[in-house]
Amino acid sequence: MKYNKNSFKVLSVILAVTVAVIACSKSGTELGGSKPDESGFDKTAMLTNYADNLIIPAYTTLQTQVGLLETAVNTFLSTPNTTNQAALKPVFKETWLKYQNVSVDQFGPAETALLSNFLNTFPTDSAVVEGNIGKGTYSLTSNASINQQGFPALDYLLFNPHALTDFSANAANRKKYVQDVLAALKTRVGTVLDGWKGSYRATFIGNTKSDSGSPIAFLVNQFAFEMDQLKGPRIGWPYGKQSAGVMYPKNTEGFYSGISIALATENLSALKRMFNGNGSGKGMSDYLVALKQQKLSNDVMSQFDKAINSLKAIPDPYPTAMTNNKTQIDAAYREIQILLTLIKTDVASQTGVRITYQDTDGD
Amino acid sequence: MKIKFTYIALAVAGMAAFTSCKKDKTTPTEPEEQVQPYTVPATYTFTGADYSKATARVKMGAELNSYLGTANNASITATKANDMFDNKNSQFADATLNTSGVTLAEKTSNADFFRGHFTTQATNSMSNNVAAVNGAAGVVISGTTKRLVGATGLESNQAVAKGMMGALYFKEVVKLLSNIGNDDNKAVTNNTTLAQRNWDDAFGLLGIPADYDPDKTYTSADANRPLLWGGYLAERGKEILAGKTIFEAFRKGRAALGGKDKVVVAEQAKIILDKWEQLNAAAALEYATIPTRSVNVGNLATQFHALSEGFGFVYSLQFRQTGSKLSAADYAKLKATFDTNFYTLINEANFTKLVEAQTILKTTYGL
Repeated sequence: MKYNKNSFKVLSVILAVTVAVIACSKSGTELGGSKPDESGFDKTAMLTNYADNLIIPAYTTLQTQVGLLETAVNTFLSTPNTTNQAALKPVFKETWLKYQNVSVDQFGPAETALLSNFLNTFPTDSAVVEGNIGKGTYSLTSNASINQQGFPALDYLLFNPHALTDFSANAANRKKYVQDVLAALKTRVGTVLDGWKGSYRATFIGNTKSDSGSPIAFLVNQFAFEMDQLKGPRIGWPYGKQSAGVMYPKNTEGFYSGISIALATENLSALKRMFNGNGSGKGMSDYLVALKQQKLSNDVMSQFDKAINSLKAIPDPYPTAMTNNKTQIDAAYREIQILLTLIKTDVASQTGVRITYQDTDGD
Repeated sequence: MKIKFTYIALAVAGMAAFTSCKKDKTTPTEPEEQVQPYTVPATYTFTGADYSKATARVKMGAELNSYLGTANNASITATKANDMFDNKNSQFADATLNTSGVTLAEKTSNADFFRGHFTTQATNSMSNNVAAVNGAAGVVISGTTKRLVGATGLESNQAVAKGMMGALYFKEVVKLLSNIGNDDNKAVTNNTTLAQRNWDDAFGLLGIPADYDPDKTYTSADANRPLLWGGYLAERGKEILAGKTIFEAFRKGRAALGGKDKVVVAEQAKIILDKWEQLNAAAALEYATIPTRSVNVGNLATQFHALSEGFGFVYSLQFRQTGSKLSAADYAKLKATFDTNFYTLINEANFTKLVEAQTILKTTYGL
């Protein structure tokens, strides 16, 4: 965020002017969308903060990091040995961690591109991945191929126990597959970033309503959705929370590189940064305060810390912890659940947002 | 919303005022055509109003749908479904329907389409224990949700349920209300005129109780709960205020018939038809959108179910009023999209066809 200090000042000025203009035009017309809440909170400033200081920088950082990953992958592919694999791992991990920062931004250009589906559907279908490599023909654009690519597929291809052997001989198809997956990933990130730099930024900050399809509704829905993912596929389900204690360690995020908890922790930390607008005074937590929900805002923030700390108490690799650290996992699960409820019910209702991603169809 | 509504109300009031002025000046009418004072009741309560036949058809439709739905876990027969459609052999659990003297078939357009789906659903029910694949019927399961689909991913029971909402109920309403200005509103039999009986019939086809409350959440345990279109007023019509608008227009129009106020009757009929069609479009839009949401991608049970409902609602839109905003060309595009194999639709990169359908529905109906 340091890098943004100057642009932020300029932005504030632009913003002030914009608000003034809106205010002027408002006095003339009766109908219209954007006006400060009766509480005086400036929602346009909040959304601008999200776009310019959180979302767009997060995609930019991810894009840069994907470039670094590409270099490290190519080094490994040209000389697949233990040293290069070991050097690749932290770069790979860092890239996946950077992805966790944008995971919550699954709306607008990311939704059109189905970014989270194509980049992070886990567990990957390793059998189909191997089939694709064997045949040498596959489509990475078909929606049916979401579990054959992205980080989980790379995780399998680069770090499964037999990866080094696999890449050693007759591995042309395999190397090409890795490169194709990485290229597809890079393209999709680029598309989304371009979308934000293009028209979507204005669309996003220009709509301060809370009805379904509005940026505020997107944000609150995504906070809740990510919490559901954390409670379910990231932590709870592999641990047997949906299967009467029968555990599915291979279904964890980052199974082969053994970084599940690191990913989950980063995901939740990113969510916290998004929730409080990175401490700028222009986040959802501040909006709650303006809505006279100081206590709820405080409760959510302190629950974020409890949940993050409880996650940090679980050691990676998660599959091992499932046997050795049950107490810590159970504790983390409880904290996550409390946070989920706070966001999905209390925050949603106070901000007037309907949770829409779970469409419970009556018939 | 509030502001908007006030404006609409003002506009309507303005129009009413304007028209009544015009009337006074220009129409030297016969005495029996003079507008009489009337009041609009808060519930659909009018002397002599009897829409029991329409209500019976709504309940029959609901029972037929739930029978077809049991194919998920049991074998069903086309014979029984046809019996229900024709009201033969006392197949309804609600015995009053068996003796109601009405049938679904007599008022349903394209009966063969529906009978065809009864047969398909019965055949599909033999495969409710195998996984569906492209080209063969079976079930798709996600969590606790289980859907029985045919070779292309379509749930035949949804094609019937939502298709018939158009081919029977909406089509009849369009017929009745489009012609209401020509119906005799003078001769009284059993306390009502022909125009009033037809209006009541149209109201009955909506499937809501006389004391309908658009803001209430009706549970399935509620005997008076809205059915079919009535249920969709809330399920997909909340944001366009379908329940409030249509219910109010039905009450106003019926009261205006009593007051011989032709202008208001015509106005309310138009409000009902426009809003109802928009509701149909809103449902179709939602079901064209659900399969494309990132949270549902890869979840075939949810995607196919939505597409099946969408298929039915798009089928239903063919029964829209003459002069509808939806052009024949755009309708043909919608129809072609939902006639596409669902496995193809959900795997299409960027969901080109479904996104095109969304755009048509949004632009045409201001959704």
